[in-house]
Amino acid sequence: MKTEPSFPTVAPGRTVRGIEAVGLTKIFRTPGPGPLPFRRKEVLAVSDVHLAISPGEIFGILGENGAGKTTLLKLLATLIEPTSGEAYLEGVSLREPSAARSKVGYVAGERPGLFGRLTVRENLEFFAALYGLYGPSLRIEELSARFGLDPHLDRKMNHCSSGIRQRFVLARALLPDPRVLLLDEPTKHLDPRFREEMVGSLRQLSREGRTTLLVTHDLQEAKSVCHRAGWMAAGKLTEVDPRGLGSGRLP
Amino acid sequence: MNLRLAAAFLKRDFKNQANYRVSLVLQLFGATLSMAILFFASRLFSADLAPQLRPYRADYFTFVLLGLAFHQYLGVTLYGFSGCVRQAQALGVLESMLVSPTPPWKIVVYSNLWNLTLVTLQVFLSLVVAVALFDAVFPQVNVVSAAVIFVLTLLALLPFGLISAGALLAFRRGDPISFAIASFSGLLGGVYYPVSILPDWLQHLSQIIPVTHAIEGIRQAMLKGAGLGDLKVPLLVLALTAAAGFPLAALFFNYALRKARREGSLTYQ
Repeated sequence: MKTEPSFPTVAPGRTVRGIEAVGLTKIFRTPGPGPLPFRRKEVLAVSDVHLAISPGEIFGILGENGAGKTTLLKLLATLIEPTSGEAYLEGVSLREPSAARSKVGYVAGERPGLFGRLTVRENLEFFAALYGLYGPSLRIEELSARFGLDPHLDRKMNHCSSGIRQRFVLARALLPDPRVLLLDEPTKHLDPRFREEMVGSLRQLSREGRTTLLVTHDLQEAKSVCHRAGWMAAGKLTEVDPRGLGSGRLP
Repeated sequence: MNLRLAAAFLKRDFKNQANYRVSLVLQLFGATLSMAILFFASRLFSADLAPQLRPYRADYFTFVLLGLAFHQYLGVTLYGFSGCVRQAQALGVLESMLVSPTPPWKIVVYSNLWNLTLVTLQVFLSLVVAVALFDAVFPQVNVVSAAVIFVLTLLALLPFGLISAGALLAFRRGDPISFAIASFSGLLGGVYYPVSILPDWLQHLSQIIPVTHAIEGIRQAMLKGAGLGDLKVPLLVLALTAAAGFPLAALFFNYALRKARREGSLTYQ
């Protein structure tokens, strides 16, 4: 789907809405070799990333394992503090983490982060409370219908397939009706049919004007769903033409 | 306090715990068994053989029952918060909670509400069972004083719990202060015996532990019907500990959170 007529270029400009990153850099200091605690090794995880993603855009991030994709997402989700640079979500600086988090729906890539012994509904109710939504029945019904969770609402999470869990994770991210979505491999664990459904959902979310940063390893998925894409290597993000993905023209 | 958020955490943990009904019942009534052992052991000697108990107007069983009840709160407050953080990290849910707009300190505090509720129920049941089955006698109870001491004790210990949770986030291990308080309160806090039987220098040392004052205060209120006016020292020590502890805990917790965010270790064990 490439319905947007024009996309802003990656530049250190400032957008009022969507996602903007200006020189975002993260250097981790890890214990160095030897027993001395003050000898630290520096690892450059994200290097001088400039991003400007407009509302309604889906920006795909691809790259090999350890390239810095997840770290970039965690920086934007305020789970990691940048070493330098600045970023804004819907105009709110990451320096105000609580305000920035209220703009974001986040899907973690490594672990779904759910309570296995609670039902799907109980999980959604709990996270709704964390987002300040009380009496969220209507919102839960709406999202359940949207992601096909209706028949599973009263099943314990531990008894749900990984596909159902992944759909739950996306539904949870949308609970607060965020304008910005940070998705780390949301179609992981999904069979082809659900994957296609999820891709359809991402397109729908884009049509609703939500800004999406999508980390994926699937070139075809990036090609079919992303308006723009970037290739990440050694922490550096280089914009690539998503139409060229899968054709052997990656950096 | 956000009551709706607190209710959401309590509901979550109750539903979770409801999967383990037998464990829940054992947790609630397990103390009864220990109480029986304590009761029979205490019959070995009467108050006449322990003159240090006379000021409390109680036998050893009733005396130690109150000490142990408060010691349970100590454990849940000092280690409960960091335990909840550790569990959330292990389950992988800490990350999904921390990306919500709810401030991290609230997530940590509310996560331990269930444990505090459970201990309160345990203590209440213990006291009921002690009176009903083991003839424990509380000659004069001042409910208001006991409630004030109880609340102040929680407020005085809560900052140490937050520091412990912060230490876990920042250093991925427990903090030495909570460890010291937990270890020394059993020895010096007057849980098992009156502080007056300790050597002088240890008695002085015991006074710097807030738990000593909490346990002494609750005993005075529950056994001698002491009013708030009679409990000036414990009330003052607990209030000062809480007043000094909260800003320190807030500073340390924020430092720990930033350190964990800087190092990228916020959600990892």
